[in-house]
Amino acid sequence: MAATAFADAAQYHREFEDFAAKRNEPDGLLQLRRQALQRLETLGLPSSRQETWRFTDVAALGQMAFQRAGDAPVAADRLPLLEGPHHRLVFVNGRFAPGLSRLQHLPDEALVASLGQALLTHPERVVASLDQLKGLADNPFAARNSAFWEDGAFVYLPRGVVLDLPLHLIFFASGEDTASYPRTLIVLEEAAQSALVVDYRGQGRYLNCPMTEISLGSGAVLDFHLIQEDDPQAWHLGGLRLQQEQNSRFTGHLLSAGGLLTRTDIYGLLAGEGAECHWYGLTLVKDRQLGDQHLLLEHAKPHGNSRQLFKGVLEDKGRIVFDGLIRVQQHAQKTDANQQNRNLLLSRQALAHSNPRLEILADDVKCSHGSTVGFLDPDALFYLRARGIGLAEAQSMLVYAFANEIVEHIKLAPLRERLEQLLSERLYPAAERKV
Amino acid sequence: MSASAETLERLTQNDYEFGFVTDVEQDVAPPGLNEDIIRLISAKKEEPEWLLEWRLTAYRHWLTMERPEWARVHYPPIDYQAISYYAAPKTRKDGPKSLDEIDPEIRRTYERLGIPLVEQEILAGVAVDAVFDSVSVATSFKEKLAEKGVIFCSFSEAVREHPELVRQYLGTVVPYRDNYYATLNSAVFTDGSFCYIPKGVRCPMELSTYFRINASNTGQFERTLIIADEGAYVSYLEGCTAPQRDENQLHAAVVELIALDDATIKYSTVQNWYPGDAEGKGGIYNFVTKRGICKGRNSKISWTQVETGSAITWKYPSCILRGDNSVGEFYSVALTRDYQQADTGTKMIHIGKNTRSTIISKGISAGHGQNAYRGLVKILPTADNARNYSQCDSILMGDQCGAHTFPYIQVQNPTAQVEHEASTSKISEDQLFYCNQRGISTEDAVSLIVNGFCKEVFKELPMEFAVEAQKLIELKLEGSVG
Repeated sequence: MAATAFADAAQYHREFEDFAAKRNEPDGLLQLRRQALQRLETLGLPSSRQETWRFTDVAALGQMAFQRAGDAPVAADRLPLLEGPHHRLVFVNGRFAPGLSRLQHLPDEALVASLGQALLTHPERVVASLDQLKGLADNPFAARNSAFWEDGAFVYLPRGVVLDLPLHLIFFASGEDTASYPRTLIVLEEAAQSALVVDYRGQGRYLNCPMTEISLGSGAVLDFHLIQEDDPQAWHLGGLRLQQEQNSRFTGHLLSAGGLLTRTDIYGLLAGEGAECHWYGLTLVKDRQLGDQHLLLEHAKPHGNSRQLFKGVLEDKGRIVFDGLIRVQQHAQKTDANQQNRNLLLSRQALAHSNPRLEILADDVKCSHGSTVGFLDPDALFYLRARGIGLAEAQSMLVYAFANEIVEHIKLAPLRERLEQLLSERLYPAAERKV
Repeated sequence: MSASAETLERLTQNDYEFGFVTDVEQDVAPPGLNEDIIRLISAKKEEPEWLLEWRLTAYRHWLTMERPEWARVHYPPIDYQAISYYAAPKTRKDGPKSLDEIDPEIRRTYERLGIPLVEQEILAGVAVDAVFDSVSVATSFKEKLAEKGVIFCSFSEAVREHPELVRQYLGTVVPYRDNYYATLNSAVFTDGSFCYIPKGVRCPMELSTYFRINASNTGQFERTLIIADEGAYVSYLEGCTAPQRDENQLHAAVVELIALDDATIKYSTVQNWYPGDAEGKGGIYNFVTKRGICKGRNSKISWTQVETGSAITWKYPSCILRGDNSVGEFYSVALTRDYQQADTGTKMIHIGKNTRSTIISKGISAGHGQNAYRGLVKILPTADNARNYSQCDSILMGDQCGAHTFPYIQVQNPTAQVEHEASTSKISEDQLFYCNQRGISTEDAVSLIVNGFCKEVFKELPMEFAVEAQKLIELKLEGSVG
């Protein structure tokens, strides 16, 4: 397939027709793809003149041409496998890899499969839920995924079904100047429960535009983990839409450590009374990496509760953008929302942007936010050094402790241990830090 | 609606006290905006050629600009051709030689505003430069100031008497291409205040300007320039009112502050432009650019504002902290009720070493009011050991209003320490109950709590202003408990 310049509308129109012709999909689905393509045409490539893209320059994409990634064999040892029993679905370049996947015994009626399989066995279920959630309508990368996704994961848990084992989704990307559009659709009906880990990894200079949709029925509980460790040359522009019904509970952990440019746009709608939504995020950047998290949590109904704690550690010429917005609609009384952003600057060339925002239209609410940026606390360093700990060691201990506050919230022990390992490898340098 | 909510409602429905029109013969330029009007303004003011050129360059640049849409305020497009850009009381032609010569009608206006010039002169020891629509009416205490070498006069006078100072500093903090409304102001500004405090002088009294828009269909575009030379200190007060009219009037002012080594400028505003009626009809569009530069070492600029009026307030008094060890402060209370909208905040740009800034912003929304804090704290790589603390709190009264917080924080220096905190809540039932139980009525309790909420800002105001501000907030909140 010919390479498609990112900014060339006519060309990706042709690409789309080629692509759609081969898909042989239900009409409803094709309709959704066409609508997304139209959105994409109107939106074009974001420019830094747009408020939400001011600090994240993706203009370079306009000069690049990405082709659809081909099949590539991946050895199992390259995958970030979890220890202990779990269900696993692996996707390579956005396509299902059954050989690497492994499903344990599933409860009856639960559906865990690739989207491709699910479209064959339960097309009506997929069509009913795909691309139905609100949010990210003005995000061109979300539109790109909706138009061009090839495969991905589909999780459907009917009423009251609890998945005992964690479910691990691995999206591996590889290739030079290739693009992949992994799609994940998660539907938990009333009172269903699950723990889910999504890993993005890869090798080479590729573009990864994943899109995840999560819909939680009333009383459903989801423990969600999103780990981004893309190749240092890769672009990762992901989207996530979340909708929560009454008394549902969502806990999200986001760890972003890879990619040249990694951005995730998250929209969460607390659509039912008493919904609870907690996000814990950690972004690590070094060299010339840019890590960007855009988060909008919308409280539409009373008694909602949301928490956002996002931390960043910046080394070298790394840059971090955090843009979090709590929007409380007029009738969402008794909302309790809090948002915190903390960045640790470890280098003179690093740059942190922090935009924690509140938009509140209801009067009986408790909403607050905070943001701090700075270097290590000199008193804490002094305390450690006074106890005979060298400067380098003391600094690393404090940096590690700062970052680990996010990781220690993770209940899934194998994953937590893996990430603690990642932190100690990354945040313990050989020499002391000077600023 | 609870009983207390009703009281709140009642409390906020207080009428605008300063909505009277003064019947003074006015010399008004025909409405419309073009190069001829700018030449006319310039000619009326007998301005030098360079200033006219500067105005025209600004105007030509303005034509290429687009109206900014990013603020969280909504208003129909303004027809710039329907506005008259120059309105002067006719008597001005003869030029008042002293306060006694001022049109008694104007004097009475000020008396009704509660700032009788004479009284203030004697009792408060405040020198007032009163700007009535577009021209400065009178400046009191000039001689006393002149003794110390302080120049305090209207902008037009400064252009005539001290052109070298004006030319040196005009547009250095807010350049003519800065933003849409500042550019418009640069093209058509009519008057304002000018103040220069020489080296080592501590200004012996508080300087004060009173702005009032009187004529209908006019815009007010004043420009204030304050320069504090090395080691100087000045405290400057600004107050604003306008009559009640159905149509919206535009107020696009520019204020530039320059603090050299060891200088301190304290700038306080109590803004009470006409906010429009309870249905949101009429009112002033207050689009103001205020910015100060701490040019020298150890200099300090402090902004204090109490924003209670205007249909729309759109202003961000900012500090550029260029000198090492310089300090920027921003204290703000913004109150919106009925259909008022406010999008206000500050920018603190840290460039020099050991620069410090403090931001305290208090927002109060009642009725259908929308109140947004929007601020930027930027620490550049050169700003070693910079320090910022920001706190933005909002109170909501009633379920139709909104409070929003949009802080932008950009840090490029690891030795800097930046903190931001914000909270939004309503007046708690517990607090009200506590007061009620001690025999304090709900109305009084609300005003007590709100005053406590604003205290951190009020204590920064000069004493007479603090009392006025407190009264103003009480007055505005009459009828709006929730």
